[in-house]
Amino acid sequence: MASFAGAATARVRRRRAHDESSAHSNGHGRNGEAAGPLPDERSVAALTRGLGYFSLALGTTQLAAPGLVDKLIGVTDDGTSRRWQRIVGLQELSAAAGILPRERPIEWLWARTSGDVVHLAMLARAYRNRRDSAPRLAIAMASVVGCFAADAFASTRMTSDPKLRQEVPRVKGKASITIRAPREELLEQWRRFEQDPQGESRLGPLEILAGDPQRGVEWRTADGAAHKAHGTLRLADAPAGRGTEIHASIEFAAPGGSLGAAVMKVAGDEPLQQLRDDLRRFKQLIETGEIARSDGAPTGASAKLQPKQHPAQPPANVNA
Amino acid sequence: MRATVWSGRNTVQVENVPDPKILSRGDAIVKITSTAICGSDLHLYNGYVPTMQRGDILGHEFMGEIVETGPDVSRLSVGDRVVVPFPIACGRCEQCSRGLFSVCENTNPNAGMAEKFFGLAAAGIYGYSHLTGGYAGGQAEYARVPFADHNPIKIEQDLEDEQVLFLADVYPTGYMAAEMAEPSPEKVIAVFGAGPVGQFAIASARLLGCENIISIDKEPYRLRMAVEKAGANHAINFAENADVVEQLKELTGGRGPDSVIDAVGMEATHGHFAIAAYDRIKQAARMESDRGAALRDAILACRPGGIVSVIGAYGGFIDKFPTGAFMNKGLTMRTGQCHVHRYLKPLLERVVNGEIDPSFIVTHRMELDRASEGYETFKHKQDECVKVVLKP
Repeated sequence: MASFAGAATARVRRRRAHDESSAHSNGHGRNGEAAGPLPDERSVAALTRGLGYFSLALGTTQLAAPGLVDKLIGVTDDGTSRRWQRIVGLQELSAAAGILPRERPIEWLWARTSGDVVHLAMLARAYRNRRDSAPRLAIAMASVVGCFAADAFASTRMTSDPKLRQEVPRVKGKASITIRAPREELLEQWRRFEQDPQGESRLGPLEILAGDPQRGVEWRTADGAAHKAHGTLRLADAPAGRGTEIHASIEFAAPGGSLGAAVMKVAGDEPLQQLRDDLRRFKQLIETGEIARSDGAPTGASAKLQPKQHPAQPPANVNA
Repeated sequence: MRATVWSGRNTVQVENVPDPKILSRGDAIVKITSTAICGSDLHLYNGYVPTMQRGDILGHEFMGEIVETGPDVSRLSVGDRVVVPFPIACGRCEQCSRGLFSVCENTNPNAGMAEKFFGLAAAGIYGYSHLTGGYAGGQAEYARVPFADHNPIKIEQDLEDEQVLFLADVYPTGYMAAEMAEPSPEKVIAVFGAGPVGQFAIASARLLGCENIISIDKEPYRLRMAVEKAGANHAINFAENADVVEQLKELTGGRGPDSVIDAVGMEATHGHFAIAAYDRIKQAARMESDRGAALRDAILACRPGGIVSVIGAYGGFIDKFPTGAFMNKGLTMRTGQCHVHRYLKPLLERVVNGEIDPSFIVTHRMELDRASEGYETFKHKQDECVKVVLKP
């Protein structure tokens, strides 16, 4: 019994410590004493995630089919009510976007809670209007009250207990490149690049944690980086003096897992793409002393800017 | 400045655009004196190359005078007369150091996209879609030349523009096609396509010692040029007889040519109506990106153990690739965008020595402002057009 519980505790501790480090919080006394996920912790996390997905589903329906929602909740389907459905739909989507990617989306849960009060008031106003269907409105209001209870519970529990957090699905990836430079020189240069003083890095600035570069050092994004991500970086000699191989791995939070990552990729905003950009840009800097710039891509390689490039003609205003 | 701008399928126009400026420390600005329309520009013009944007300046064969240099440029100075190779090389990566400049690892800012399409970073190319970097082209009054120390060749000899302009692309491209075919006096080399690259492939095969060269095309005037100017011994007009493979066998005592050069690429046509229509329709419906009639015949005609040298440009996939013939014959296929930089000096030398005068391909000269007329004339092979040179 003791050994089994001990192993479970250690596993949880490790995960916690890791989450803390990537969240840059200062840590707190209770964290290290966590004795396995209590049923309550799990249920609050699941409830939070459920509320996020509920917002996503409701918001999408309200935007795509406002008339249908009008009918369901029993309000008269006209231009005004559809406009309100769209406004509330946008609000729901922003709540989903706030809740799903965050481990502790406290503000967003409170936003949902107060939103419920507003929605209840809107329904109550409609209830007084005789044209609308009273029984359906009553059911809708009861549902909102139910939501309010769930939101208020999740909000208060998460606010009062700093241990509580939901697990956001994480996506892993790898990237590698070979650069014609000796390993020692490269490590030095990489440290400078990842500090990003020139704004050259797409993912950065990064922080390199302790470790042996030949075995792999740990890195994570620092404040001001485009995303929160972490991973490892390993330098190896390429065969026969062909330079140095950089092997990088990355792990980042993506709501919806690999599907969410695919959506980020289309927008050119996936951290793995940015890591690949960084490796290419770093190679260009080391091997040629400059980043390759074109009229279409005046700032050089960028997955994010790729879909909306300038035409291949000189831009009107360029700061040389 | 005035520049030739792509504004959709079959539409180019000469417009006023901003002048190029130095963007990086290794850049130079060239004032263009001569520029040409390349056969591969027609792939862009016809809309078969993805990632073109409205407003892209075309042109990757140009020469002129250096008028400005970035602070890191040391090998060129203002006033130098230069020819600019079409692939942009960094000169420092592993591929450049091997002499494989067209697969330079560093000069394409859109390498991520090129890796998805072609599986390689691909060197940047002037005026040749965003897949190869989104660099403004040289059918204009001025062009920005990045990595200037590693690209243009200085022309110090007293030669006409038209004698050296084609060092930028078609002359070395044809030369590389011939070199890949391993010419020798006893070999028979067949060259599909008698456009500018085909003409230079024929002329180069002859320079490299080949004495039996067969040119294949459907335009009598181009075949005439191949025989009279470039040095082909035989001409096959596939408009007259569609069975090119049979005719090549006939001309080689049943053996088939020892090496076959494909100087046609993704918009091949075929003498047989049904085969031409098959590829046309599949390409138009975007079911195959490239029309492969020339490459198929090249493989089917080549003698067992021979070499197929592919220099015509392809962008995606062809249908009905004859893998059975290719494998069972034990053929070798050599391919690539031309690594222009490694041919600049030796090929300039051949011009200086009078071994070749590349200006023989020029049929049309016009002002830059008439570029759209130039594209139409070249595309429809009107007025016996082989090569259009534009003067800014």
